[in-house]
Amino acid sequence: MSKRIRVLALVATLAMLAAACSSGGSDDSPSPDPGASPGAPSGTLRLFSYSDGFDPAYMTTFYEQYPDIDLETASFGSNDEAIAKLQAGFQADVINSCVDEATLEMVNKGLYAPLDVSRLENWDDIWPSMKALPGVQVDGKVYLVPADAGTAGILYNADVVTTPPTSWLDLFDPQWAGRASMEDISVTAIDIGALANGISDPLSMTTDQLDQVKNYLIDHRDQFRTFWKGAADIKSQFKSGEVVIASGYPDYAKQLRKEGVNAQFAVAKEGQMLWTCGYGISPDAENLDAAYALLNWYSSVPPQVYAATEFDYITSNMTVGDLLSKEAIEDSGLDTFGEAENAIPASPPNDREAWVAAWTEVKAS
Amino acid sequence: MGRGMDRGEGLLVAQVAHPVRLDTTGSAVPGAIRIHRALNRWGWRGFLGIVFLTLFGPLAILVAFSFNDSTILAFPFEGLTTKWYSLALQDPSLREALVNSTAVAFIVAPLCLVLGTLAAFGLTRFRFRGRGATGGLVGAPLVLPWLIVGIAALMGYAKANIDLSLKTVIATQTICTFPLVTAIVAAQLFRFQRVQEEAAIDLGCSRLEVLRHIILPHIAPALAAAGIFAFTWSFNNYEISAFTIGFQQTFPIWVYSSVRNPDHTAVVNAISTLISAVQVVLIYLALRMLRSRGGTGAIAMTEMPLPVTETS
Repeated sequence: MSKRIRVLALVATLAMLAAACSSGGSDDSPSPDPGASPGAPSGTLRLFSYSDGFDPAYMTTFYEQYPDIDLETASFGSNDEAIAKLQAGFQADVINSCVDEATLEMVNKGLYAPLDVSRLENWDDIWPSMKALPGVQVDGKVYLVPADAGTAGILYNADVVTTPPTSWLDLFDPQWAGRASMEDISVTAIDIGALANGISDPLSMTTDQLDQVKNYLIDHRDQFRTFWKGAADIKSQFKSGEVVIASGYPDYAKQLRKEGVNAQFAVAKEGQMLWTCGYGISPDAENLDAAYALLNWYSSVPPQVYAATEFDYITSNMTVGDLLSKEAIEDSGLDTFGEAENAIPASPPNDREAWVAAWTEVKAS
Repeated sequence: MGRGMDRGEGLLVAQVAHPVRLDTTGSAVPGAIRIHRALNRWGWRGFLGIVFLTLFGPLAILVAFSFNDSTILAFPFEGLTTKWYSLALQDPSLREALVNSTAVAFIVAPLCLVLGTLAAFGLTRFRFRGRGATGGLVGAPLVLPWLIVGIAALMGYAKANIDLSLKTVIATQTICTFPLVTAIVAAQLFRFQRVQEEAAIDLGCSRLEVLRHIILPHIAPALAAAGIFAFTWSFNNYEISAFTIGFQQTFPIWVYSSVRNPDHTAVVNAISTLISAVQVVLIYLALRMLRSRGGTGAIAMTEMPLPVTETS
């Protein structure tokens, strides 16, 4: 009996290990399809991205343009999660990241390879302000092709806040005490506090200035009913009337108006925070032709128009603006974006840990 | 103790019978008892109410908003609709994720039953050197954070040059889930009187016949419950799947990546309601089976610390 059980246990364990190991000899090799069109990229391409980066409707024109590329996709919930997975050994050809989250960190950790600009067909059409963002270019080398962007400004309920806000200081107006909200991201929150304190270049703040901002936010802690964490949060709070003014994004105002809330978006005169996301190529990429094809597709006109009209994103390709409707330009924020002269890159500062610690202290106060 | 009398009431009866133990003056005793009784009754009810609300309140909100004609989770209700259910069932990526999760769980659960039962037999029936260490090793996945297990497994697969796929998810989930089966089956085996085996052998049964006719019927309820729990653990698992999967999605991964899209919130509510309903039915059936087939399995289950599972 005992011998039989031992044998059974051994067989079951070996079977399980064999099942796992058998995938080592994968048939998913990125070798070109023999039937592919001559010269056209083909084979398997592995994309690691936020899920909206491979939304089926968004990707329609890619599949039409590159029928011989077999696109495999994997999603992540945050750039931090993506970094953890990539550093543990996960391999992909094309990787998505956002400048305000971790692009520079990913470059510094060797998760992106320098790009050959001569193979980037739309590079000259990308907004110069986006090309200059931290992580997009490092030491003169390009690592990320910006694909979409957005600006953070002031979201308000125009039925209650009858005078349109013009400054980040309006978020701290005592008449909205307990009915204001701010996004729970340390970089954004400290940026807003700094701009409200007259610090025009938050990313270059000194330690004393950071303390000043922290103390200001602590003094105004009761101004904020919540620190919202996601679109669902802030939209619920606006709809229920708990919150009437908050930091937010233009597309939230549009979505709230569809739900019957008279929400509007205003640009703060001190500056608007610019977030940008894009795509780069992994040093482990196995199908470079297909990877560059995907990067070029993301920055080309069809997906850019789709992202502006369906996702309300600011496009990275400057030429797309002429093709958009007036409504799409307004909803995406392209009308206030311009040359992004007053845009402040929502990117992690050098002393990110100090910012995170300061924001944690504010929340705990 | 009379019918319908709970332990607290029994204690109060005992106290009434010996009022001197409460108060030697005697006059204040009835009031104190009344207060004690009321606190006992309403305190427990209040506590249970809070626990019930904490556990099921969010689920009730999720169910209610899955029928709300709005993508925003806030009152007032915009009207009743079932369109989120239609959208959920029409979404190809969601369908694929559900098929993947179901396939993985249907493979993981039987594998865990085999490995878990073998481990339970080994640990309860045999005395060997290193038995304690083996037991600890088998139980380790129950206490190790699955996030760490997932990352470690990913590193292991990368070092071994094994491509990530549903197979790696199945292998890692099996390793982390079979100890649950071991715990349930071992609890049942500990209560098994081996004299029944000896009697069967004395009466001419072979070892295999003893296993089939004596032991398996005894542990069958535990096996059924363990199988269902292994299935739901696997189906709901996010941490391990997220790190050991390749270019596919399971249902929890789909949910996690979908909540970034605010338009998906209502769809997530709808499909989560359906999945929760199915899982509640499965777990109810498992517990009912345990109770109907003998108390020991049910006791083992209720005494076992259940892990936190991914709320879909």
